[in-house]
Amino acid sequence: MLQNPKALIPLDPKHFFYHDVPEQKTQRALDNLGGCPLSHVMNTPTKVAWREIPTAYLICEDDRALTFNGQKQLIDAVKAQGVEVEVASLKASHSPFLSMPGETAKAIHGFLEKA
Amino acid sequence: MSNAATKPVIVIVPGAWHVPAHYAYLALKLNSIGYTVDCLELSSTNDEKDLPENTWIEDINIIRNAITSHTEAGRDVAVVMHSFGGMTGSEAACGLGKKESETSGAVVKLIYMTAFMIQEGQTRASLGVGDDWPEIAELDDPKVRGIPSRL
Repeated sequence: MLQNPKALIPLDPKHFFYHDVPEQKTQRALDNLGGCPLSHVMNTPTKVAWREIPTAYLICEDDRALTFNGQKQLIDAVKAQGVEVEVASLKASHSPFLSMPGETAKAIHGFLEKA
Repeated sequence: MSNAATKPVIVIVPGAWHVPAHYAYLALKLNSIGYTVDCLELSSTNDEKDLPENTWIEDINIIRNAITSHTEAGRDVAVVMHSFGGMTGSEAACGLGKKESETSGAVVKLIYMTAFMIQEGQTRASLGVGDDWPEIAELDDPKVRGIPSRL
């Protein structure tokens, strides 16, 4: 029963994911959303690669889904274990790849110039 | 600027519900500054008829196979993970970094794009709720009502 792909549906994706995305792009993004079985999100990794591979985090400051404070908690928890995390920030929602794709590409390039 | 063959291939791991079409604008921008982009279609977004038995394991396999297809061809890889893609991506990239990898290419960087960079054993639900962790999903299946929905 938990394998129903429509079991878990995003609550108000326009509000949580796309609030800074232009209207036309938002409509297409909503139309493109796929399913997600509940069982999928109840899993947890048994090992995590940030322990062994150089890691960067692109913070989205206006994110309403994974909030700024939430993102900072995740980063701090990793740093607390002695792992270095390179950080850059955008004033974007949960979907910088739609609202500011150019700036997002630049931020990714910035991380990789040093890779 | 170095050419595309010397830059790492960028493998994009979508978040829950999201498909490659969502990342097309970003992929084009990355192409325009010289990157090859491989945006993955995950099994968890499939329709019911194409849904594998275990989407978690299947998604990890899809990510890992995509990464190794590039590293075995001698290319370095950067893994860009969005949202829940950080959960599966974190596990999938294990052992594929510079020192551990047996192939000529390797994963040179993990980039969490507002993604769940979590610890082993944590689930999204274990992060709780509140202003920092708002409820952003709901259960639409009457058969599973009563189970908390927290992605």
